[in-house]
Amino acid sequence: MNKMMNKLPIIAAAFLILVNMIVLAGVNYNRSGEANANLQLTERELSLPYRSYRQKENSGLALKLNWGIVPAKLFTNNYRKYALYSHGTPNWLTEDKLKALGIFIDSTKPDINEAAFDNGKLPAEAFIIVLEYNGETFQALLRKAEKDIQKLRDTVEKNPDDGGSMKQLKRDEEALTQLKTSASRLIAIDAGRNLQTLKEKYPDSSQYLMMRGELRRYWANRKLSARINKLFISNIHVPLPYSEEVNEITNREISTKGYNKWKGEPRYRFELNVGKRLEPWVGEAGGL
Amino acid sequence: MDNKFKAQQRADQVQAFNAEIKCLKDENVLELDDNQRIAISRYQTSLLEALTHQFDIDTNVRQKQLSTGMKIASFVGALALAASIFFLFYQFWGYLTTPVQVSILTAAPLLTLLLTYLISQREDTGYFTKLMAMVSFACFVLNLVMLGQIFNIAPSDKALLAWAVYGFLLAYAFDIRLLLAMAILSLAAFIAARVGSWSGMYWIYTGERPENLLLPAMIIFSVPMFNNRWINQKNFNGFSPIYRVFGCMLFLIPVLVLSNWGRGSYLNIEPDIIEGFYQLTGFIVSAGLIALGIKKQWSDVINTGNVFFVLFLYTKIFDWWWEIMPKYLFFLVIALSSVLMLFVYKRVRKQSQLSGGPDE
Repeated sequence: MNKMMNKLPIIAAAFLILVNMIVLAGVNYNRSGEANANLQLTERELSLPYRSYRQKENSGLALKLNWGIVPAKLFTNNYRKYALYSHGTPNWLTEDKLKALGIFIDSTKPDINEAAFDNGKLPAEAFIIVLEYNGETFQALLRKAEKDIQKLRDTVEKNPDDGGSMKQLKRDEEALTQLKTSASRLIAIDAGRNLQTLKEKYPDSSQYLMMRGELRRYWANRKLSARINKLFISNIHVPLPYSEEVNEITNREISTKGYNKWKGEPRYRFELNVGKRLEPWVGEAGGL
Repeated sequence: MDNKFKAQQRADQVQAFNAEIKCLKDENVLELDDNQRIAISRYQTSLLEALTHQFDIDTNVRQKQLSTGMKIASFVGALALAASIFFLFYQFWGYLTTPVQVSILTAAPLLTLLLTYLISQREDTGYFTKLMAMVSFACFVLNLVMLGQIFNIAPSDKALLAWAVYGFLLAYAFDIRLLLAMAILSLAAFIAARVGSWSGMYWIYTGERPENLLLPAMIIFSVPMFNNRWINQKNFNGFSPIYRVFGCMLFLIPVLVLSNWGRGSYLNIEPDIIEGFYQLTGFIVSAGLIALGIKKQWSDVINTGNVFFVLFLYTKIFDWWWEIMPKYLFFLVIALSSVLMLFVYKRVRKQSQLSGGPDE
């Protein structure tokens, strides 16, 4: 064994220190200067997590970032009519938008064989997703839902004996109440590759949140489409003392029940910041 | 003698020599006179004492059996200790402030590294050193994973590179094959993730394209060929075979997967053609590895090549005939193919015996 080998433990120790310094410098860089986003969110957007039996021993707290997309076909689910889902194809993710995102549709489009239309051949790619908080998109959705339910109310008024419509109206009214009081108001409204361009387009840091996420293309009837699969960071760690504050406000629901079934008015608020590397962190917290 | 592997080989050689001398004496072929016997005995005793002192080798069968038990115990102990540290942190980290969490996470791998070094200086057997080194590696994995969670850092393939580097450093510093294997797997995952991202794919999904592993496999297989004045693989206890076996496996497993799942390929052609291509590749590469292993006297490569050749052959036989043949005939075909392979191996073995030379 030569001298070099004897020095390896020292090199290993130096390596450990170096890696930790790089990680912490990255964190410091992300949080330095003006934040890319600074929003006041509530339990609607940052809910308590579901905690399975396997994670029962986890004493840390990470809140789930809830957001939704507005699909081209709205209100198609009769049981959760006005619920918004955080995965799927938003109405703005058209073929033109895919071209604008730099996806070369023409070269992707195969000429002959079926093999080339295989969805498995289309990889998931990282993009910056823009989320709008309680903006025009969410308000338009609310208006549309109100209009939709009004139609059903009119139908029920005209046919008071129609039990099916009555039941549907009751379900839809509950769904609308949830949309108004407990559903997330963060809606994915755009995507892009260049942060600067997106910041110029959406300059209001108290309304727009930009985070990295994943888009996956797929073939639908030989036409290229895409869906937002997920945000890379969807669980936001809550440090002390804020985690203790949340635990007090929610009567330690997460550690006693392990899951969150809250469907009422939000109970707490949080300041959510997103830094230079589009990594979020929570600021001040409080009750509502 | 510069490593434990060679020292153990020498001790085994001494035992074999003594056993053979005893046989020769029993068969009245050769009997050493008293002077020769005493001289040999003295030489062997001092040699074995020196080797035992320096490398803690096994000088008899009972010691060897116990050593195997100790290796298993140290492996299980390391895994359990690493899991215990992980769950201990998970149980209490919510009650700690961020600076305390960060201090614990960064200090844990450093402290366990220091402990590993101190134990290695005081211990002959190396089992506790290995145990502590593996715990240190686990602490470093926990370190980066938990810093990622605490500061909401997006998952990055660079963590794989950091784990690989630390694994290699520990493996070479304390001569630990298990950590070398972990470092190799981390490095392979990192290179595969990079290869995947060249095609536009997000790195986490690199496994969707098994071809991403072919380049890292070739790099890992070729590592033992590049020895320099700082690192010579021959100085480390069985490191070269580990590089070669992992290189072979990381190449042949994706080929085996693609030979049955052509849709997983980058190639934009009919899956049937892709599967056929990889089936052929699998046969050629595994047969080539057997030939290379025989030529270079690498028993590890021969065995890996053999296993994969058989796997490729049997999956193909299953593909072709399971549906159409009566089951008795199907198993008869497998039995006959095994017999045929026995003949082939027997012939190769005979040639190897004629050419002579010890295995590495």
